[in-house]
Amino acid sequence: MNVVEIDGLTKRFKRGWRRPDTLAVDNLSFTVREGEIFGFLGPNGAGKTTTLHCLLGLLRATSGGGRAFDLPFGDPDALRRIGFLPEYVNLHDYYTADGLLNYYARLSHLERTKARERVSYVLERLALADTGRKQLSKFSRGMIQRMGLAQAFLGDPDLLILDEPTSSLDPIGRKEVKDLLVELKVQGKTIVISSHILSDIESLCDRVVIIRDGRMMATGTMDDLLTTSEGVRITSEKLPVEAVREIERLGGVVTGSETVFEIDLPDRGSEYEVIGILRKHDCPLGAVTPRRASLEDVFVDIVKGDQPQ
Amino acid sequence: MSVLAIAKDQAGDLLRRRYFIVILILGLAIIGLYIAWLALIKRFAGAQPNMPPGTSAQNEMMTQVGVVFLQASLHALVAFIGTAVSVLLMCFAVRSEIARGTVRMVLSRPVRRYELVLGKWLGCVFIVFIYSLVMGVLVGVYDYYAFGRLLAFVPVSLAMGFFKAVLVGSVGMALSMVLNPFLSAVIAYFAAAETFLMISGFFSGAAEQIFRIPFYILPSYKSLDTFWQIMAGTSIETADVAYPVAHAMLYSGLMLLIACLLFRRRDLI
Repeated sequence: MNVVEIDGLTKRFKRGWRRPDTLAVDNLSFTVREGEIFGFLGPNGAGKTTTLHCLLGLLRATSGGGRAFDLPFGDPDALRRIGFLPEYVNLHDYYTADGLLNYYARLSHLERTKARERVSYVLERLALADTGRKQLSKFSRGMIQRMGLAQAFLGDPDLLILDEPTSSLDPIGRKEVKDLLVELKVQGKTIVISSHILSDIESLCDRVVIIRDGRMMATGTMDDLLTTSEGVRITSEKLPVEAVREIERLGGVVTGSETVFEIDLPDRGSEYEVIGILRKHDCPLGAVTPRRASLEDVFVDIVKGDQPQ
Repeated sequence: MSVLAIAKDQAGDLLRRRYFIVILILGLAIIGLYIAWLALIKRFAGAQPNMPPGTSAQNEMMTQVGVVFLQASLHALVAFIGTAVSVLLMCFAVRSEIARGTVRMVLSRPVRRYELVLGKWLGCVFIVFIYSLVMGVLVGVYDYYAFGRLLAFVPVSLAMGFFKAVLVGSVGMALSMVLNPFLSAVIAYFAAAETFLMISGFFSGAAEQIFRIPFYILPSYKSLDTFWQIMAGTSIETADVAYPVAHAMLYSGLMLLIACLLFRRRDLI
């Protein structure tokens, strides 16, 4: 089941009289399935935040649109099931941490008893329990980010939309948040993450969409995107110099240490010959896997390239 | 429920801010100044030695005029400050939420846009009410000092000042949805029917008629002023209160509706 369906979404911003409009999102279409962690990637100014804001009803689509939980964007019944962390977390900083969460709980129509339980839970879960009575204006940037996450999780939403969730967090904080997201996925929650920290996206997401200039450039599962069509990697624990020479003659690149050697082959098909060389030299075969590019490489290729993939 | 939560947040935020304390201190200072002024008038009002015959009655009349003027101007000043506070609060209420970026936190929850506008408006109205209440007590203290009793028209005058403040503030709030909030406050303050009636007086023929058109569209602020009624010493009749208050309430409601409609279509960047 699709939790979010974006269908031909276009958003233009008017820049004033006699000035051309800015096209932020151009006929964008994709879906987010129930229970998945979905990565939403793109360089700065690609239209990620605009798309997310359209989804929440904060911005009105110029044309096209979509549905969240089978309801139009911005519908209060859909928003009841959505938790949102904006890129720049601006909170009502005259509140204390629990005061603010209680205010947001009222806006989320949580019952008083449930609100109290959820406020305690999210403060505890995001390591903010000790700061419940501290005024937000005295919070550090990292603590504000945690508060942003706390308010997003507050209503126990079915869909979490997180714009740069791990920015401003230290490595421990980042790990805690990643663990929390995995835990939420196990609980069946759907999570949409927009982030520039590609290692986080790579380790967390099931599927991603990459956009540039408001247009979709690539989409698919992480395996689809990271597995290059050509190229194989073979590992072996032992590799004599003669074998290395033979492999290099076939176009393979050998890297590694004394314990594990990695043989990268640029083309499919030559792996059988390499396996033969390994047998000939009595080298144990470790693994034969399709070569995986890093998300960073794929992202750079797609964003710098001209054609959608 | 959301409306009340937003109203409570808005009122709480405004009460916490220092400028509300400043306004209250200003109110106290004004009352203190008026009491001192009244004391001076009373002191010099008595018969002086070597006074020419017949000047005593004239002196007493002038004193009476001075006391009434003080009374009327105090009410006008309280209403002016209340209106200024109201229009500034209402013009910045929604716009500051947008400027701070906190509006995204509110409207990404199941809160309808009209609920945000209504909640902000109610919070500001509550603050103006508190201001009117506090100033009412202070004006009561002044009256008791000046006349030795509480005057019947005082609560009526303060109530009309309150409704005027809400009316001007509501006009400002509607304007602030499309204009700069400070500019909205200035326009709202002067966009009264009477202003255009006065302007039309400088013209004749078609121009006069054109300048009269806003007179029939814009709200009347003057009908909510009590300065001249207090100066003339005429009693304030029920109709004098009911019609302007009904006009203010209806027009405020209309402005609130326009504010909600304008905010509904707005992109929140």
